[in-house]
Amino acid sequence: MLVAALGVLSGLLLPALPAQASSSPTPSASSSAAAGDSSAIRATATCAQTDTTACVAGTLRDADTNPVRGATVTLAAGGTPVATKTSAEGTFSFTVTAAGRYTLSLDESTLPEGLTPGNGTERTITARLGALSPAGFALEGAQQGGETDPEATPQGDTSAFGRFWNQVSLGLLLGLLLALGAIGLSLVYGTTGLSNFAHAEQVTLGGFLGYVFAVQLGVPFVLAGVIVIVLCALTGTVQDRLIWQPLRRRGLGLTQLMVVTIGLQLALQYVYQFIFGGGVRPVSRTIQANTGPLNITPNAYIAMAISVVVLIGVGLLLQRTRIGRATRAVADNRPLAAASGIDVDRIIRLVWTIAAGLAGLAGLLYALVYGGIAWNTGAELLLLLFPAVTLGGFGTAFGALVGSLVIGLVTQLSSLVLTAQLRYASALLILIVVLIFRPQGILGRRSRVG
Amino acid sequence: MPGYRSTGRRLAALAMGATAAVALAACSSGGGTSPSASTGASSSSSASASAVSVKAVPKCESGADETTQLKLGAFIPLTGGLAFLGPAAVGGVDLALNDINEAGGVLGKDACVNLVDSSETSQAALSVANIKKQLQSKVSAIVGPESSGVTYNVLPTVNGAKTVLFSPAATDDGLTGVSPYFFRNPAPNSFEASALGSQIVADGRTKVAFLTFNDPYGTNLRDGMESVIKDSGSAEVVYGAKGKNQEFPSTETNFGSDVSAALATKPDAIVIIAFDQTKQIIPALVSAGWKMGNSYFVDGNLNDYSADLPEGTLTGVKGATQGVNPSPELRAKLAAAYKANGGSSEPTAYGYGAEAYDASTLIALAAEKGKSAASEDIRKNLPAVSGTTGGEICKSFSACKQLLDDGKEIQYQGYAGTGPFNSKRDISSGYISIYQYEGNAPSKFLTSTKESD
Repeated sequence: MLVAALGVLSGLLLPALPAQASSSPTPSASSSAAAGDSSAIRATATCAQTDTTACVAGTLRDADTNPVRGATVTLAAGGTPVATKTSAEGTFSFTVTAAGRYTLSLDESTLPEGLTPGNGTERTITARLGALSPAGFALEGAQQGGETDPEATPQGDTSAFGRFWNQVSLGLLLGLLLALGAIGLSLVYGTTGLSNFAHAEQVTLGGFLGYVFAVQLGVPFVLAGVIVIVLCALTGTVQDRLIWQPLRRRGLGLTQLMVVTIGLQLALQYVYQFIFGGGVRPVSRTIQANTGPLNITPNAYIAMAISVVVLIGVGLLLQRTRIGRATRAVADNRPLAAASGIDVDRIIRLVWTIAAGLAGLAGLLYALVYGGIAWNTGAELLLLLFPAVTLGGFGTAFGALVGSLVIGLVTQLSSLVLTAQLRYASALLILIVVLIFRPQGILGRRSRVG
Repeated sequence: MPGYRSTGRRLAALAMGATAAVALAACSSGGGTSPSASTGASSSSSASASAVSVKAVPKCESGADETTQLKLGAFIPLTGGLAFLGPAAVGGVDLALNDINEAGGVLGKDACVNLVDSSETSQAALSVANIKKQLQSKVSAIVGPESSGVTYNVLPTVNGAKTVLFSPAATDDGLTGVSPYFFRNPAPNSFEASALGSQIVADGRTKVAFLTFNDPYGTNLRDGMESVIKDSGSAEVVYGAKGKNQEFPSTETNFGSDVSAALATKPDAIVIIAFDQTKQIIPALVSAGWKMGNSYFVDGNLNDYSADLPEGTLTGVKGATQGVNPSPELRAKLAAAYKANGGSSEPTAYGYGAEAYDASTLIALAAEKGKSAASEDIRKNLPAVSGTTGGEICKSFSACKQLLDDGKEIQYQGYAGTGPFNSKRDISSGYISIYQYEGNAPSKFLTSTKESD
């Protein structure tokens, strides 16, 4: 049967078979016993089912997932049972030539000390020709001094506090990365009153540029990061010159401007998809192990530190410097600021430049920490950025920080009690509740509302 | 790739990457974008090695009578996200017709081909316009399309014209029994779930976690595997089981939370059922200390990750994909047929080429059996030539035609090795192959299992 198909496979099978044979242990019981006349059972070192044979196979592991060697397993179908011992890898396998029901049993007395069968020692197996019928016994207890599988030992802190702390650290990380993305959104709103829906696409741009420079062109990561920030900042400058300044001069209302940003958002998404495809693009090929008190990767600590420094820096810039005071003046009353000699267009362009540069940095770090960037990553983030900014208070750097941390922590902590699918819904619910009691946001100034 | 690997292995790895990308693309009913066409672009140069002579297949004349001559429509993606699958399918159809015509044609006449672009799911208007054009030029039957989404888009039109549509690649479960004129021969998702679930149990896994993205493709596969795992008596699903609402949204971009929740259940195996999100899930798992060798992938993410991950990250990971991997000989023939009929370059992926060949041959045999190339007669005779009447097994058009001429019932078994149609016009049995990662490419073929419904 199906010789043609096997012919197709043989090219692959043939090189694979010798390798399997050489690495497999000698079968301890290879005697074939004929149960009836057609249901011949053979214990085999490995079994590759063909169209005329079926395979019954399994692997014995202890509770630590280490392989159990030398246990006796017996397969029978009415006639003489055939026994075999498990290999050094804990595997056993039988090749049978008739489909149907077989009884597999485990000899408990041959198990290493300390191991007991978790769910009986007998299984009924239905063999299908050409297919693998799996057979297994869950074993309880760990063997002493037995084989250890270097690939075993899956991890995970299962204590309640461990889980809680884990989610707190994930929440802090997400919150700080969001804050970095949110601050530009907040600044642009603060100075121009515009809700920029295309802001998250600036975040995506940072990730993609990171991919281009750090991965495709092989530029060292820190240098690539600097290039990315500069290029992203330039897109902010150019954007304001080509789009937002002319639109401001024409006196477009904020609603119309917002619709323009939505158009720009969609256009940019499809341009990214066109250039980079639908897949995820990494900005680094390295993977680090989680470490430290927060149990996150070293890169994640660095990203959090950068975020904190940048946010404080922007906050101080706004409060302490001339440029910052000018920015706040423009935010509060543009005609008055203009009348008092402030170059409003220059301030706004500066804000766009800073916002786009920080968004690029946020995208780069996001892609670094979360394993890559896709054309729609920004669009997904935007749904968290707006709530973060609204929650913290539009137009303030520290507000963006506080709002982002709340959103980050709530989304991650909620999955301790709610299903993971509701994690973002819970954050948005918090947003609504806070705004009912503090419409200006946590750190927003009351005067701006109403 | 490391230097120690033999050239053959390297080619196999490249080809595997291509096949996996194919499987991935063809199984997503969306089909608007191909998440990893880039891996599919890694060309297998083995195809050009041997010289195979394949003649061009005549193009159909629109005035010719489609009931006395086999006028085969080929409705294959030449543009859009699945365009990289096109060459192998075009090659499969043309190679089959070449073999058929060398054996004397169908009903004594050379069979001809009418090729149009099926495009992609998001281009529904273009797909429908193209297939209408094809139907107006009177074809006996159509092979295609590759995407489930495009199939849904054109089915009403094809049904209206009462013409057989035979897809070599659409795997969406919802297409089962959807129309009396719709046939297909790729192995369905349920076969893959059964094969991979069995592998997981046979590997001695007892606590399995599923990281599944919330999409019918993902949850169908998960459900199938979960039932195999539960039925084993030795293993259980500790995370991501059906009804636990632990699937992640397909737009999720950070997986730290999902990974820590899954690892907190102390699994000894993790099955990742996702498309390109896998690239973000892997680093999250590795960072948290998970040994990737205890993981399992599905056809949707059985890709070559060499460009994305540190060397050796995925060694030991096992994964399943539909069908058989076309042999080097078949690849060479598919490439030659594609070029002989105007193809400009080598196909970059070979997945579903064997299925396209078999689909074309089955249609020709159905016409021979019914002594008519009218679509209605082909439809009636397709199940019989696939083996539903328990006929004699034959493996080529010429051998099968000989048996038909002798008045015997036949069962055609072609390159894809699929069994007879069931009552819903899906294949009753087919092959699933299990591969293992060496480095970051699923290059080690482990086993093929035959699954049936």
